[in-house]
Amino acid sequence: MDWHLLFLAMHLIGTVLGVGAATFAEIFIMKSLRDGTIDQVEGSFLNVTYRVIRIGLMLLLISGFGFLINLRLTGMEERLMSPLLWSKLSIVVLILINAVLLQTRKIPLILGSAISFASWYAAMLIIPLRTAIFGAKAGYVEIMLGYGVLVIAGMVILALIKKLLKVS
Amino acid sequence: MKNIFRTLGIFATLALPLSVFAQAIIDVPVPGKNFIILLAAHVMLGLVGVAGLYAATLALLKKHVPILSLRISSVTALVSLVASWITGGIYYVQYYGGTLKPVILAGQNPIAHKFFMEAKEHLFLFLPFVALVLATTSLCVSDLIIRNARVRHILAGIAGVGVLIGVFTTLSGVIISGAL
Repeated sequence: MDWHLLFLAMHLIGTVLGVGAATFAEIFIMKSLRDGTIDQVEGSFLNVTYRVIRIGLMLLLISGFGFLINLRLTGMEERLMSPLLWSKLSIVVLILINAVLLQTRKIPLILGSAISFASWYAAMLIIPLRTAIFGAKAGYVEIMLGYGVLVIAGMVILALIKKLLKVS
Repeated sequence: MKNIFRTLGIFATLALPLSVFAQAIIDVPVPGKNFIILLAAHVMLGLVGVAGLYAATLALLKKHVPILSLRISSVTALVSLVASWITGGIYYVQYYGGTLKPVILAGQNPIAHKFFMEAKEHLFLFLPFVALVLATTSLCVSDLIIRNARVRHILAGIAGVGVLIGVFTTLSGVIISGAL
């Protein structure tokens, strides 16, 4: 059995589900909040969307750690210390913390969903963005700074869209 | 109050045989080169266990606690973490300690063993018992969890600490493997 191929397929499906559902969560929130409240039907759509995000995240975690085991067992342990890997792990931890803050309402829905939205895109685009902006040898701090800029840019863009759509 | 004592009684009754059982299995010799399977199983089961604790935390933070999903996530966490404890224990005692530990200590990052493995192997032991607390309470006193917000918050705190320990042990595992 080709484990690498299996984990790659799981990783891609997880990314598609996670990024897709995070995008639709944002669209549903914008659409729902146009009248200032989230009614029962809108809430049920959001619940399903968040469930899909969790499924995507679980697939990503299992396949991601599958890759790590594969690296360990094929003698490529040095790649386990790469800044890129640790940046991805950090972003996943931030997505998990953001979900808890959203659940406990310690963060406004609009801000939390924007962070989730931008983080998912950052996790997906981290490899091409790192190469394009910093070159292939960027360190952990540079990558995380780039991620921070992407999150802020995402939040500003979403805030502008919400202002245009007059979302309260 | 009676329910709490009943749950504590069940917890105490299960905790001791659980730890004796896990320790007994760890000393059973592993035939052939099954350490690869043990390592993979240890990592994946641990990951599922921490995910279960995380799901239980989110469920307990909800105003209307979904008891069924709380039970499923906490029992999944319990089973996975006990299995991860056993597979990780066998791997450590019969392979890591004798073969890999000297390599890490002689390598460029001995801190991977001296700090991260030492901390991980002790902190990990809390996790099955955190999951046991969540599983016994969600199965035995679910009515109390639904009615009493204070109980809910305390359990969410316990589950949250479990998640923090779980994330630390998971990331420590990556550092330890990376130091080889």
